[in-house]
Amino acid sequence: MSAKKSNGKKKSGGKPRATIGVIGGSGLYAMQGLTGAREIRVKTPSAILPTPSSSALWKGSKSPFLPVTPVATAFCRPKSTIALTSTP
Amino acid sequence: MKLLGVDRIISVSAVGSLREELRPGEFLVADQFVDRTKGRVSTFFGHGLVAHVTFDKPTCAQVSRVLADASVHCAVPVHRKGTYICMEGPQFSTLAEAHMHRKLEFDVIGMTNATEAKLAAKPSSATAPSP
Repeated sequence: MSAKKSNGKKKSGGKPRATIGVIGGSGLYAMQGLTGAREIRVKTPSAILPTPSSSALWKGSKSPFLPVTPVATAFCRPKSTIALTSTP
Repeated sequence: MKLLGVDRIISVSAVGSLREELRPGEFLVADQFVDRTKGRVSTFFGHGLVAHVTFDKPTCAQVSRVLADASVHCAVPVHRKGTYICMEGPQFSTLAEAHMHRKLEFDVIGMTNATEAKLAAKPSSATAPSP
């Protein structure tokens, strides 16, 4: 899917809106309250995104959520390290 | 995140506490980082392009306030600021390191958020890590 580019301040009904990105990791492997979640693979210039993001509606806001593979020991897979190991 | 049109980033992590008053089950919205990682890519620059990004205030005060207020609303004990020391890991600290971190008056310790904040700062995203 083609990812949209941010166009700065978004307005809806006069109120400013923002697209929120949530990075999960140790202690957060899923988010409650998301509806209409779908998986998106993003090809980044740095190729540092090894896992697909999912985009979902969360209390009215579009919110990509980048999950990290859950592991038995919560602290043993630092997400940034994972995210950067595939850098070319 | 930038390609997905994200304006603000919230990063959530479990951390270790370096203070008795920061108890398990509580939130701390970190406003400062100390980066002790090594051998980790923490920038998008370096391949023919370098820029020095302002980083004295590495988190977004607006998002931080919203997060802290939301915690209060949900009756979750929250600390509105604090310094996050980012270790390389994956090992935990030695006792000597833990004593040093406490003497330096850091608040919580983890292995991810400082790197994320640095990367998030590059494409003009605002980040509010919420350990």
